[in-house]
Amino acid sequence: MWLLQISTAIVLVVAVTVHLASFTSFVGPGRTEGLEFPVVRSRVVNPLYTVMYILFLGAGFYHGIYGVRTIISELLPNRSLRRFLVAILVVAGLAFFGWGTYTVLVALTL
Amino acid sequence: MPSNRWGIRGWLGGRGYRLDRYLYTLHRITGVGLVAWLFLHVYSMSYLGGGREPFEYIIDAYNQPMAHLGEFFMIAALIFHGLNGIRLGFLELGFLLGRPKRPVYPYREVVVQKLPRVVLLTLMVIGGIFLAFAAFEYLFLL
Repeated sequence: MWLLQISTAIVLVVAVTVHLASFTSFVGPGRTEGLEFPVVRSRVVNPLYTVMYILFLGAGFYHGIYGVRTIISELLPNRSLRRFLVAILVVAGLAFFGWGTYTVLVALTL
Repeated sequence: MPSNRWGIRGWLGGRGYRLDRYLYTLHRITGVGLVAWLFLHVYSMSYLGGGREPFEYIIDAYNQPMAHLGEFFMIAALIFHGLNGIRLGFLELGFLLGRPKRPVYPYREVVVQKLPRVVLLTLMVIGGIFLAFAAFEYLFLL
Protein backbone atom coordinates (compact mmCIF):
# COMPACT_ATOMS: atom_id res chain seq x y z
CA MET A 1 0.00 0.00 0.00
CA TRP A 2 2.90 2.33 0.77
CA LEU A 3 4.42 1.63 -2.66
CA LEU A 4 1.06 2.60 -4.19
CA GLN A 5 1.15 5.81 -2.12
CA ILE A 6 4.50 6.74 -3.71
CA SER A 7 3.34 5.67 -7.20
CA THR A 8 0.16 7.77 -6.93
CA ALA A 9 2.31 10.72 -5.78
CA ILE A 10 4.30 10.48 -9.03
CA VAL A 11 1.06 10.29 -11.09
CA LEU A 12 -0.25 13.32 -9.18
CA VAL A 13 2.85 15.46 -9.76
CA VAL A 14 2.53 14.87 -13.54
CA ALA A 15 -1.28 15.22 -13.64
CA VAL A 16 -1.37 18.37 -11.48
CA THR A 17 1.32 19.99 -13.64
CA VAL A 18 -0.60 19.21 -16.86
CA HIS A 19 -3.91 20.26 -15.27
CA LEU A 20 -2.63 23.58 -13.91
CA ALA A 21 -0.86 24.38 -17.18
CA SER A 22 -4.39 24.74 -18.65
CA PHE A 23 -4.98 27.70 -16.32
CA THR A 24 -1.63 29.46 -16.54
CA SER A 25 -1.08 32.26 -19.01
CA PHE A 26 2.66 31.46 -19.19
CA VAL A 27 2.11 28.15 -20.98
CA GLY A 28 -1.66 28.00 -21.58
CA PRO A 29 -4.75 30.17 -22.03
CA GLY A 30 -4.64 31.62 -18.49
CA ARG A 31 -7.05 31.28 -15.59
CA THR A 32 -10.00 33.32 -16.91
CA GLU A 33 -9.91 32.08 -20.50
CA GLY A 34 -9.02 28.54 -19.36
CA LEU A 35 -12.35 28.33 -17.51
CA GLU A 36 -14.52 29.57 -20.40
CA PHE A 37 -16.96 26.88 -21.50
CA PRO A 38 -15.73 26.44 -25.13
CA VAL A 39 -12.11 26.12 -23.92
CA VAL A 40 -13.10 23.65 -21.19
CA ARG A 41 -15.23 21.69 -23.66
CA SER A 42 -12.37 21.45 -26.17
CA ARG A 43 -10.34 19.79 -23.38
CA VAL A 44 -12.91 17.45 -21.89
CA VAL A 45 -14.07 15.97 -25.22
CA ASN A 46 -10.51 14.76 -25.83
CA PRO A 47 -10.31 11.07 -24.75
CA LEU A 48 -6.66 11.54 -23.71
CA TYR A 49 -7.78 14.11 -21.14
CA THR A 50 -10.57 11.71 -20.06
CA VAL A 51 -8.00 9.00 -19.32
CA MET A 52 -5.78 11.52 -17.52
CA TYR A 53 -8.66 12.88 -15.42
CA ILE A 54 -9.79 9.39 -14.36
CA LEU A 55 -6.20 8.45 -13.41
CA PHE A 56 -5.92 11.82 -11.66
CA LEU A 57 -9.12 11.19 -9.66
CA GLY A 58 -8.10 7.66 -8.69
CA ALA A 59 -4.58 8.70 -7.70
CA GLY A 60 -5.87 11.78 -5.85
CA PHE A 61 -8.43 9.93 -3.76
CA TYR A 62 -6.11 6.99 -3.01
CA HIS A 63 -3.21 9.26 -2.03
CA GLY A 64 -5.39 11.63 -0.02
CA ILE A 65 -7.36 9.00 1.87
CA TYR A 66 -4.26 6.92 2.60
CA GLY A 67 -2.60 10.07 3.96
CA VAL A 68 -5.56 11.02 6.16
CA ARG A 69 -5.73 7.39 7.35
CA THR A 70 -2.09 7.64 8.47
CA ILE A 71 -2.86 10.83 10.41
CA ILE A 72 -5.95 9.21 12.00
CA SER A 73 -3.93 6.11 13.02
CA GLU A 74 -1.34 8.31 14.68
CA LEU A 75 -3.68 10.65 16.48
CA LEU A 76 -6.58 8.47 17.65
CA PRO A 77 -5.85 5.82 20.26
CA ASN A 78 -9.39 4.35 20.07
CA ARG A 79 -9.29 1.47 17.58
CA SER A 80 -13.04 1.30 16.86
CA LEU A 81 -13.27 5.07 16.30
CA ARG A 82 -10.26 4.89 13.95
CA ARG A 83 -11.84 2.08 11.95
CA PHE A 84 -15.18 3.91 11.81
CA LEU A 85 -13.62 7.15 10.52
CA VAL A 86 -11.43 5.34 7.99
CA ALA A 87 -14.48 3.38 6.75
CA ILE A 88 -16.42 6.65 6.27
CA LEU A 89 -13.47 8.15 4.40
CA VAL A 90 -13.09 5.13 2.11
CA VAL A 91 -16.82 5.04 1.30
CA ALA A 92 -16.89 8.82 0.67
CA GLY A 93 -13.72 8.57 -1.44
CA LEU A 94 -15.12 5.74 -3.57
CA ALA A 95 -18.43 7.59 -3.99
CA PHE A 96 -16.72 10.84 -5.05
CA PHE A 97 -14.34 8.94 -7.34
CA GLY A 98 -17.40 7.40 -9.00
CA TRP A 99 -19.12 10.80 -9.21
CA GLY A 100 -16.04 12.46 -10.70
CA THR A 101 -15.55 9.64 -13.22
CA TYR A 102 -19.22 9.90 -14.22
CA THR A 103 -18.82 13.68 -14.78
CA VAL A 104 -15.70 13.16 -16.89
CA LEU A 105 -17.46 10.51 -19.02
CA VAL A 106 -20.62 12.61 -19.47
CA ALA A 107 -18.42 15.60 -20.43
CA LEU A 108 -17.12 13.55 -23.39
CA THR A 109 -20.54 14.01 -25.04
CA LEU A 110 -20.75 17.81 -24.56
CA MET B 1 -0.30 1.24 15.71
CA PRO B 2 2.42 3.90 15.37
CA SER B 3 3.06 5.59 18.71
CA ASN B 4 2.52 9.32 18.91
CA ARG B 5 2.89 10.29 22.55
CA TRP B 6 2.42 14.00 21.91
CA GLY B 7 -0.69 13.76 19.71
CA ILE B 8 -1.40 16.84 17.60
CA ARG B 9 0.78 18.96 19.94
CA GLY B 10 3.71 16.97 18.56
CA TRP B 11 3.07 18.61 15.17
CA LEU B 12 3.53 22.11 16.53
CA GLY B 13 6.76 22.06 18.43
CA GLY B 14 9.04 20.31 20.81
CA ARG B 15 12.59 20.17 22.01
CA GLY B 16 15.20 19.98 19.30
CA TYR B 17 12.78 20.37 16.38
CA ARG B 18 14.48 21.39 13.15
CA LEU B 19 13.16 22.77 9.87
CA ASP B 20 12.39 19.25 8.57
CA ARG B 21 9.97 18.70 11.44
CA TYR B 22 8.00 21.84 10.61
CA LEU B 23 7.95 20.80 6.95
CA TYR B 24 6.40 17.51 8.15
CA THR B 25 3.67 19.45 9.98
CA LEU B 26 3.03 21.72 7.00
CA HIS B 27 2.96 18.67 4.68
CA ARG B 28 0.17 17.17 6.79
CA ILE B 29 -1.85 20.40 7.11
CA THR B 30 -1.64 21.07 3.35
CA GLY B 31 -2.46 17.40 2.68
CA VAL B 32 -5.66 17.49 4.70
CA GLY B 33 -6.62 20.81 3.05
CA LEU B 34 -6.04 19.38 -0.43
CA VAL B 35 -8.17 16.30 0.32
CA ALA B 36 -11.02 18.58 1.44
CA TRP B 37 -10.56 20.64 -1.72
CA LEU B 38 -10.59 17.49 -3.91
CA PHE B 39 -14.05 16.58 -2.56
CA LEU B 40 -15.24 20.17 -3.17
CA HIS B 41 -13.72 20.19 -6.67
CA VAL B 42 -15.52 16.98 -7.70
CA TYR B 43 -18.78 18.53 -6.47
CA SER B 44 -18.15 21.85 -8.32
CA MET B 45 -17.10 20.19 -11.56
CA SER B 46 -20.16 17.91 -11.52
CA TYR B 47 -22.01 20.99 -12.87
CA LEU B 48 -20.03 20.56 -16.09
CA GLY B 49 -22.00 17.39 -16.85
CA GLY B 50 -25.17 19.52 -17.14
CA GLY B 51 -23.76 21.59 -20.00
CA ARG B 52 -22.91 25.24 -20.53
CA GLU B 53 -25.46 26.99 -18.25
CA PRO B 54 -24.88 25.01 -15.04
CA PHE B 55 -21.11 25.18 -15.62
CA GLU B 56 -21.13 28.97 -16.09
CA TYR B 57 -23.36 29.29 -13.01
CA ILE B 58 -20.83 27.52 -10.77
CA ILE B 59 -17.84 29.35 -12.29
CA ASP B 60 -19.64 32.69 -11.66
CA ALA B 61 -20.39 31.60 -8.08
CA TYR B 62 -16.63 31.19 -7.49
CA ASN B 63 -15.81 34.44 -9.27
CA GLN B 64 -15.36 36.59 -6.16
CA PRO B 65 -12.31 37.88 -4.21
CA MET B 66 -12.52 35.40 -1.30
CA ALA B 67 -12.79 32.46 -3.72
CA HIS B 68 -9.76 33.76 -5.68
CA LEU B 69 -7.82 34.00 -2.42
CA GLY B 70 -8.92 30.44 -1.57
CA GLU B 71 -7.74 29.28 -5.00
CA PHE B 72 -4.40 30.97 -4.43
CA PHE B 73 -3.96 29.20 -1.06
CA MET B 74 -4.93 25.92 -2.70
CA ILE B 75 -2.29 26.43 -5.42
CA ALA B 76 0.26 27.41 -2.74
CA ALA B 77 -0.60 24.22 -0.80
CA LEU B 78 -0.25 22.17 -4.00
CA ILE B 79 3.16 23.71 -4.77
CA PHE B 80 4.43 23.10 -1.24
CA HIS B 81 2.96 19.58 -0.90
CA GLY B 82 4.24 18.55 -4.35
CA LEU B 83 7.78 19.85 -3.97
CA ASN B 84 8.14 18.60 -0.39
CA GLY B 85 6.68 15.28 -1.55
CA ILE B 86 9.38 15.04 -4.24
CA ARG B 87 12.00 15.64 -1.51
CA LEU B 88 10.41 12.98 0.73
CA GLY B 89 10.23 10.54 -2.18
CA PHE B 90 13.95 10.93 -2.87
CA LEU B 91 14.76 10.47 0.83
CA GLU B 92 12.43 7.46 1.06
CA LEU B 93 14.18 5.79 -1.87
CA GLY B 94 17.60 6.49 -0.34
CA PHE B 95 18.77 9.25 -2.69
CA LEU B 96 20.20 12.55 -1.49
CA LEU B 97 21.09 11.16 1.91
CA GLY B 98 24.80 11.82 1.58
CA ARG B 99 27.53 9.38 2.47
CA PRO B 100 27.25 7.57 5.79
CA LYS B 101 29.77 8.49 8.46
CA ARG B 102 30.92 6.78 11.62
CA PRO B 103 28.68 7.95 14.47
CA VAL B 104 30.85 9.97 16.83
CA TYR B 105 29.50 12.01 19.74
CA PRO B 106 27.62 14.45 19.49
CA TYR B 107 26.35 12.69 16.31
CA ARG B 108 25.26 15.95 14.69
CA GLU B 109 27.23 15.35 11.49
CA VAL B 110 25.53 11.97 10.88
CA VAL B 111 22.03 13.40 11.06
CA VAL B 112 22.43 16.70 9.26
CA GLN B 113 24.39 16.61 6.06
CA LYS B 114 24.84 19.17 3.38
CA LEU B 115 23.22 17.51 0.36
CA PRO B 116 19.64 17.14 1.74
CA ARG B 117 19.80 20.73 3.00
CA VAL B 118 20.95 22.04 -0.40
CA VAL B 119 18.13 20.09 -2.10
CA LEU B 120 15.66 21.48 0.41
CA LEU B 121 16.78 25.07 -0.18
CA THR B 122 16.72 24.56 -3.99
CA LEU B 123 13.16 23.21 -3.81
CA MET B 124 12.16 26.17 -1.61
CA VAL B 125 13.51 28.60 -4.21
CA ILE B 126 11.68 26.74 -7.03
CA GLY B 127 8.53 26.78 -4.86
CA GLY B 128 8.93 30.51 -4.30
CA ILE B 129 9.15 31.14 -8.05
CA PHE B 130 6.03 29.01 -8.72
CA LEU B 131 4.24 30.80 -5.89
CA ALA B 132 5.08 34.20 -7.40
CA PHE B 133 3.65 33.01 -10.76
CA ALA B 134 0.52 31.74 -8.95
CA ALA B 135 0.09 35.05 -7.09
CA PHE B 136 0.40 36.94 -10.39
CA GLU B 137 -2.09 34.65 -12.15
CA TYR B 138 -4.68 34.20 -9.38
CA LEU B 139 -4.52 37.50 -7.49
CA PHE B 140 -3.37 40.24 -9.89
CA LEU B 141 -4.69 39.18 -13.30
CA LEU B 142 -8.29 38.69 -12.11
